[in-house]
Amino acid sequence: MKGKTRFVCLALVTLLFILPLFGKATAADFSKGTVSFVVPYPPGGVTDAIARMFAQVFSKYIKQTTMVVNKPGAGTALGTLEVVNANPDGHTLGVFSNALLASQYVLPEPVDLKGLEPVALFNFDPNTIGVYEQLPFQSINDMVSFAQKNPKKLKVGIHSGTGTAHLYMVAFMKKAGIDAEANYIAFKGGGDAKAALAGGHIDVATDVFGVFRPLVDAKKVRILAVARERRHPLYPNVPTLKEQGYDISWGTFHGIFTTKGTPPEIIQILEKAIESTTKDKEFLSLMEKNQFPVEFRDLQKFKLFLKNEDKVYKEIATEVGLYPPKK
Amino acid sequence: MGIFDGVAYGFSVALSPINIVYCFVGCLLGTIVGVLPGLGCAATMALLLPMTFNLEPTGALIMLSGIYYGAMYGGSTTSILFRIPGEVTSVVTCLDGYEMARKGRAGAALGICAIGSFFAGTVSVIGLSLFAPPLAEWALKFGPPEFFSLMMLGLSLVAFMGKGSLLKTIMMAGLGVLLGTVGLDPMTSVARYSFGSRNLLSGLDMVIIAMGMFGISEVFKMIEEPVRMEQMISVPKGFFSLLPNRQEWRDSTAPILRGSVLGFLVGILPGGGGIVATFLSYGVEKRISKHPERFGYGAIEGVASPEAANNSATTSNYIPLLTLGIPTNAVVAILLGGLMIHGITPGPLLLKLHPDMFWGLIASMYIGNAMLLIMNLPLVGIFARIVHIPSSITGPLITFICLFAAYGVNNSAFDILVMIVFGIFGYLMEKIGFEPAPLLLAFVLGPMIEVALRQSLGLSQGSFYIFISRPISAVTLSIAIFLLVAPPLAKVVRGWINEWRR
Repeated sequence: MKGKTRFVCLALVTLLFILPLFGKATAADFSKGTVSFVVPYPPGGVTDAIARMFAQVFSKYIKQTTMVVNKPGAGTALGTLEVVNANPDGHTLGVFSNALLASQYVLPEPVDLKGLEPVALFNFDPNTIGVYEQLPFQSINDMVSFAQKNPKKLKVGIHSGTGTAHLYMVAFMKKAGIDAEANYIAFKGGGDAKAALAGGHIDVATDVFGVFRPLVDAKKVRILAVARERRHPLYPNVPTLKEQGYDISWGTFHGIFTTKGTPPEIIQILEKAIESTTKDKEFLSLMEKNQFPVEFRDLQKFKLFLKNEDKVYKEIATEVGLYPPKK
Repeated sequence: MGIFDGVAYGFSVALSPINIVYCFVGCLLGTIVGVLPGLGCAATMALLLPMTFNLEPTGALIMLSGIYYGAMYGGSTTSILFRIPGEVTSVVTCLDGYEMARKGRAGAALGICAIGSFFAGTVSVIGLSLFAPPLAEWALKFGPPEFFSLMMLGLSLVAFMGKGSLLKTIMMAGLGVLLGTVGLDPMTSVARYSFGSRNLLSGLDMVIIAMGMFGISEVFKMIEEPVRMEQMISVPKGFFSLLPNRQEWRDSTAPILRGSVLGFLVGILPGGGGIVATFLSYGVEKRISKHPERFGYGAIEGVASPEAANNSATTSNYIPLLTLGIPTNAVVAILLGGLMIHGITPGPLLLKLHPDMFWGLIASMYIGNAMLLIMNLPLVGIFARIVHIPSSITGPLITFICLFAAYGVNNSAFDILVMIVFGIFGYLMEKIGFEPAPLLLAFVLGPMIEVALRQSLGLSQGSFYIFISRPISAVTLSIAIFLLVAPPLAKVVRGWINEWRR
């Protein structure tokens, strides 16, 4: 290369290396740039869809461009690490769900959650218990008595490596007293379990309304109960677990987390923007069309919620034998 | 709405100017994405999802679908020209497609891919229009025991994948199964072979291994013998010598038919879909061929059938998606996400509530397939000449593309390292007669077989009888055993008959 060209190249390369050094954050700086939402799953799943809907509307209130970054792998560990190791400037947010907490007790090497700073909750979807349509159970107690009379005949589907559905289902079975009589079949993910339930290869599985809806329409699955305080407004015919004698209220939640060490002013800005998003008409209609409920819990309430959930997971995981994990 | 009314209605929707534009954009993007390795159609569709927010749901779905089957058309291009799988489903095409290119028949291979894909795509769209609901019902009957038997059938074909020694083929397959166990146990989340590394916890990625063992190892071979291709092949005279000749057409017809049907049926089943279909169709072709020794050295059946299969499977993937909302693989899951974002619930109500979307999508598939054929055929001429570029240029280019692509698959720098390691490994292995294809097949099927086996035994409480007591599983297993046992058995029986005659 000729002398001048060589010099220009070297200059450009040097510049490339120097650029990343510029970047400390203050609240004043925060208004510029892009906010990325890290989703610890491959594209196409429920969390991914919800994150995309959220990011789309959120950009209106944070006044920056938003994008969704998929970082699947290692349970949810790789995605979580992405947020833990990011710059604490409020530009990297994680959209995490129960799996984050469950992974603490199920994965062999969980990510230390102390590296995360919760910001707010924006979605809480109660789980339901669905059975294969052709089975004669009309209520939870029908199913329970069947299991008691026929040990190991009730095929219970559990799914996902990070174990939330696993934990919930087992916890329920224990409360119903049929844990020993249940025949647990593990699946790699909600999709596989759904297919197996629809085909009658397993008898019962748990998931949220939105996921079971097409199967209910196709008369493949019947929902016996919803794990909620009161009946779901869109499904007034589905009794709660509480009504049938089991005081359990659980569900899938999605919340926003960011990196530990982010300045409190930035966290406040984020929190306000999240609240505005949850009240936004466009967001509400998008979520409603998919039957995903929107619920906002601010920073303090979210932290409290997480602490309680965490306790429950730890208890169940220990009881079930998943925790401490076998190395 | 009857089927013909539906299709007619669908065309009226799909032929609206804006939907034609969406279809074209999707197909074009898909072809580009398919040609470029590492830039998977899943990632591209995910990137475009936010843009589809503001579009009409039907148009958005048409465009996203165009990307999906367009990628199947384009994926074979780099497989044939450079032995780099552009898409996961094009890995099998690397086997014979590349060999054809080395013999100067790159154009023929590319041409057959385009035409075979068009035929398969059209046939499967017709199948989708006519048989969607009953087929979905049929697919639901496949539970863990049936999957086990089907995957075992696939694995039994691995014995026929290699061109060399059977023992070496089986050894590579064994290694493939072992590699498939790396990562978190899919059912109990116990870490296996992760050596404490978080990166290994999610296991190894098939695309990375394929790019390494096929692409990178090929680059090493180029370094070793720098002057190969351009001296070996004479420059083709005229455009038509680039297309398949009459013999090649004749040889490809039946494989394309078989591949289309096989791909269509396998694509309805959850898990794998296209990938399994390509492996199965290659194995079947080789197994029933009168001259199986040609496979691995440029047999056009080994290109035509898998390519037809993967296009066919792409379309039939939509059946469980639209009728039951069950995604059969990661890419279709994105389509499901797209539907959700637009507030459309798949299922039987989809046909009632959104007939325009359902039929419009199907009609757009007919149109899309035609568009892709028109797009791809002329490119055959241009692409085929790439083969004649000296390896001193293509070698670094391939390496460059692979390195970037490896990162692009999972946003992981670790994957680049894995790819290079497998590249070196693959190169050394091939030097001593061990081929990559059986390893890849076993790598994909192994984990599926394991999960299916464990689930089945869970269902039966430990009894192996479940595999025989269920009809579909029993039939599939019998076919697998028959395929394996038939040749040596036939030899033995023939020997007896000869003895008896004497």
